[in-house]
Amino acid sequence: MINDEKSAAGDDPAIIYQYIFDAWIAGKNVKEISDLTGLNLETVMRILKEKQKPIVKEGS
Amino acid sequence: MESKTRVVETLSLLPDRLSTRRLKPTARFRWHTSDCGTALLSKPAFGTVAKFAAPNLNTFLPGLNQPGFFMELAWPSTPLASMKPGRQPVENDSDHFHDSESGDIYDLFNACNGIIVRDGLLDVDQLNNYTAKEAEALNIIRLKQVWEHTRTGCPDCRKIVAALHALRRVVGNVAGDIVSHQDDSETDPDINHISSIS
Repeated sequence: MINDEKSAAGDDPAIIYQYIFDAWIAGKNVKEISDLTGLNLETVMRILKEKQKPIVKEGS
Repeated sequence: MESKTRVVETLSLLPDRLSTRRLKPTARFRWHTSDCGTALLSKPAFGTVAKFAAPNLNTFLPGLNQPGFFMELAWPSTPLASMKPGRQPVENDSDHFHDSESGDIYDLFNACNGIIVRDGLLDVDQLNNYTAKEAEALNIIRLKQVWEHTRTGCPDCRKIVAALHALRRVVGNVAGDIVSHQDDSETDPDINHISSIS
């Protein structure tokens, strides 16, 4: 995530959430997403799961 | 021999003395006065008839001299085991592997980057790619427990892994297809965003 995006996303967690999900869809692993966003691994994992669960449960 | 029948209700403790719950069977006592001085106890529920001397019981029988009695217990139709407090329906024991803050199949999928090796099982060796610090942050020990559960063939885990795999593949393919068939000016900004990441 480039600096302009970081500053913009800082006020809106939804943007961070969507960025992490998009990165995962694009094939990035959690370590790469952590590096891209500057967030720690735990946070990336938590956010990713929060985005995934509703979709999986809705589809089941 | 004279015969009198009295129907009374009585409370009785369960055979399990630790239980605090009480049954309330209806007991029918059929009193018999006879000269033999014995009491007859009939328990039709068990198909048995027992004889015993009941001098002490006689003291509770007003107006009767050396009586005998029949006792018919109407046992409750509910099985006793189901009435014990500890027998309440419980949640599936494996549910915490499918939805848990401390680590579940979603976390395992993400930590393994969704790599499947065989039979729909995730590549647990991917967990070895993390440093000790990262492993602690990801709670790798817990994730290995989840994997041990998953490898037993849990259908719920299999379903979640398949759903996540399909989600990633299908959405990624759709994004790629749209990008390849449209000019940049016409492309959805969200799709462009995904493509720019990859």
